[in-house]
Amino acid sequence: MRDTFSPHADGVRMHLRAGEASLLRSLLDELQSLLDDRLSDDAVIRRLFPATVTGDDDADREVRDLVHGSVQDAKVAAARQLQDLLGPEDERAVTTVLRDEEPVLVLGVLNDLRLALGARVGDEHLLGTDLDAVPPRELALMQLMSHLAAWQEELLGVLDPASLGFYDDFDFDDEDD
Amino acid sequence: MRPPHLAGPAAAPAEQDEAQALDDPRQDPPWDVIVWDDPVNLMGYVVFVFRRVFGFTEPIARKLMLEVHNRGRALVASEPREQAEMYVEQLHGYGLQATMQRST
Repeated sequence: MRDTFSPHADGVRMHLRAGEASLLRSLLDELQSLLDDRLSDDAVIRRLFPATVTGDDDADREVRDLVHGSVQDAKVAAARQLQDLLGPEDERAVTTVLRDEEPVLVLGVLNDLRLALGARVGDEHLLGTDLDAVPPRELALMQLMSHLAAWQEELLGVLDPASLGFYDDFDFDDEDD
Repeated sequence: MRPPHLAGPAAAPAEQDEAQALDDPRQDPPWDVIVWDDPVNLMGYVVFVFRRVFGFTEPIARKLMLEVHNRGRALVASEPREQAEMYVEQLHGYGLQATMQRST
């Protein structure tokens, strides 16, 4: 049974093994660098800052200008806050309690990391059904995404168990109905 | 082209009509907020975001999440432009692919 996130009297307890914490720090560094530059021709940035308006390019530019600055600021601040929660790189496991809005912040940063990794992998492989056709680098990134997804679901299970309620009666073989 | 307003008392009713028209929501048709499917966001995470941003009950949030998953998109709100912009900003903050468009 995983124990990365568990209930705590003051919030949510987060426990990361040394290797996990180190990996997360590294991913956060890369994400922060991408967010700081926010180069529009980067697939990660295009995914993190998608279109705002459909069917009206002028309105899309207008709304992008209006909202994406604050979205960027919030994402940068959240990544930085998670870095602070992890503390300095010291090759030790990290155990801390996420308080107040911190669990939601961590959930969102994990999602941004998965979106960034997904943008690097590309929809062609994410939507494909033949894992043998996925190049090694992309396959490794997909495995990393799965690891982060497991964390996200574990955190959701602590933070808002109702959000996972669909698992109880969702028919995964009948998705087209 | 709208005729110029007349000065003096006779203009009052016209100004009143214009003020009423500005307040009339029919003059500012709502904008639909659409959430699009993507291969990364987890289903449970989408339910969580819908509950948090819109305050939906779990059954409503689940229904809309499944609509996104099965049909590729779902209409999650229809609001005046400013509110729709706020929703798009929040949804992009959470990493969902959300757009707004004039309601038809």
